[in-house]
Amino acid sequence: MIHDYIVVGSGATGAQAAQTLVEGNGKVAMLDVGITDDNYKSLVPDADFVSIRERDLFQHSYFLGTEFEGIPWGGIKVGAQLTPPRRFMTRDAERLIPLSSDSFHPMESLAYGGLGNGWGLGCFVFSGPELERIGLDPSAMQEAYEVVSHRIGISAVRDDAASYSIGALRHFQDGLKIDTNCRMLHEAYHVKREILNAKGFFMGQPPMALLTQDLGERNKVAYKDMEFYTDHDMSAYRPWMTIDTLKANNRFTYVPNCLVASFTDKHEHVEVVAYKTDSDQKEVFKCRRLLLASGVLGTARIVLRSFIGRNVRLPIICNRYCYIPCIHLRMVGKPVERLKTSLAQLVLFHDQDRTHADVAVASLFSYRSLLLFRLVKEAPLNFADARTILQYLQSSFIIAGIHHPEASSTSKFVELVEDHNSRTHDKLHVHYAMSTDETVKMNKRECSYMSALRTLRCFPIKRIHPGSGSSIHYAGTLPFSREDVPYTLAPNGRLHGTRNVYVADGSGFRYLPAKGLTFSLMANAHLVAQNTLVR
Amino acid sequence: MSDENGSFFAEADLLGRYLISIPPNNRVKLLYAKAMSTITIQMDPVDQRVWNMIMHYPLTLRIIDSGLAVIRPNSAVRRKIYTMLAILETSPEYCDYFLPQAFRPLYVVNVAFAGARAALAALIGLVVLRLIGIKGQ
Repeated sequence: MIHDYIVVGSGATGAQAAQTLVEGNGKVAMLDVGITDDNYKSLVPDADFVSIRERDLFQHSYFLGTEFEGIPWGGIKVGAQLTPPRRFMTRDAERLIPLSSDSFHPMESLAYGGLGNGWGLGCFVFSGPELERIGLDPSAMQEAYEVVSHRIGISAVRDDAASYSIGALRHFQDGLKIDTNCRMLHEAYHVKREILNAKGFFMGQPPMALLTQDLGERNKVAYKDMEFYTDHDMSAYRPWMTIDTLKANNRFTYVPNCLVASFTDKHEHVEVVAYKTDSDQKEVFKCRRLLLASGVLGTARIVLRSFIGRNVRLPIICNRYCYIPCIHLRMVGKPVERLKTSLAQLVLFHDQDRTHADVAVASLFSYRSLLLFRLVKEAPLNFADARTILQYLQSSFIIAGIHHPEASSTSKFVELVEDHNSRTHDKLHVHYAMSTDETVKMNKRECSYMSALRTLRCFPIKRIHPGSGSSIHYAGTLPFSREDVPYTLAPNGRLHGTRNVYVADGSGFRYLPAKGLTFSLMANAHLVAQNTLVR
Repeated sequence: MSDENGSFFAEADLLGRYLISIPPNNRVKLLYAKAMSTITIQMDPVDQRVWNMIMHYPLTLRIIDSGLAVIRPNSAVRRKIYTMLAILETSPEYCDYFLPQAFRPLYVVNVAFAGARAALAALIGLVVLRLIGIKGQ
């Protein structure tokens, strides 16, 4: 049997690409490992965080994990921020898609819905200069942003930072309520606005894939502060919701337990080799067009294997990330509302020269639902007194997560190396080294951020760098190119050297703006899928 | 109750009293015992020596924890205390010890006292750890 289209992966990009193809009357098979959470979904009650804390005798089972895996210990690790109910996202990744590196520690997912299960929901529109630097057409992307916004539902506010956050986006729902802590910070920004704007800082609410109005079967947000643990009312968009809907369509087939290893372009059709993860059997699928959407690292593995690309180094880009816990002095001793969200409530953009071409972003979070004990661990005090002190200060905590824009360089690359222990006899090796100039620039920018936060009477306690790979924003392994060069993508997403293989994830992005890229990935996936329909 | 569980119950009682100043209930003690059996915290000889000292002289717990927080923050001894803290936090009976509380002047005094006590305990803890020959990690 030859499928019209095969989409590999069920994450944010695979889901959007598949939806576009199905809506365009294509017949689509989605190959996916598709790991699901069998453990926690039924354990987490449909109630708000404080009510749960006050009443549920079994809360330890999902806050700490049935095996107490949610009690972190030791150094800072990528993925350590995942709560037990979200940990299924990374299950089996180490075994099935091995990766080695001393300098880069990414998070990969083989879950149903991919990394989208833990997505922070930020939906930023990239500016014209950013899109051009990436290699994308700004006008086509503008239309694609609108399509995706209609599909997933975005809440946003046209405020001081709108030109950085939503640009010219026309369709969105009302903005989210923000809690007292962030509201007071926002008020402080308005008082100090001229000073901060002069330094290139702009604050506003982030556009979020979190509903403030019902959309289909999904309910508007009830501010239960449980976003890190459950998707009960489906107010937060997750890619599995799209796949669940597509499954009801007879033009769509979901094939789980499939780890795609490689493809061969036979000109008239494409053969896709996959391993069944439940039986370890090899299986070959055929399609007229193949869309790879298995994430930047996953797609790199498949492409390198298919082109027998040993000793080939592909570039990789990943936003550098740091987070800064701060004490917001105005909030010390102030009460916290019961109903709020756990997600980023404000963003502070830094655009020194105001060209929209080199923008950093800090997402600002209040702290509660990740529990006090995680904060207590970071204090160099005995646990008993640290608990007393931090319980009091808790309502005034602001966590600023800073993302830096990133470009590729020869010292950041991935390659496929032999590994006889793996099913595919290989593993991905990543080398990621920043230049001195990059480090100096990043440090300078973080110091500017700390100064801006102090201006708002929000005092940084320390700066934490979880290391390269921790931002979970990856791109650039198969950069867009107008020339027919191996290991690059044509502007329409077609993999050079093939006729019918397209890449719908972020592999083509030549540059990574600091703003969260998921919304742009989804918009690009929609465009790539449209391009395959057009041909 | 097995000997091992009995010893975990005693540990839980000691750690609970230390962390929130009241003895924890049996449900929490059971959870602590389950956590200790599940996580299996490996103690090196230094940690074991420190832990034995705490069990013999429970009043030393605060100063030893304070000293370790500075020179051996990832010690297995602290991991045990930390695990108990996490279990207490996720027990509804004790949520008032962890959730943000309304402002009260007495509370501020309490926090200031805790800060001063933590600093003093750290100083004494560092001296005690040095005296018994414990060095940093």
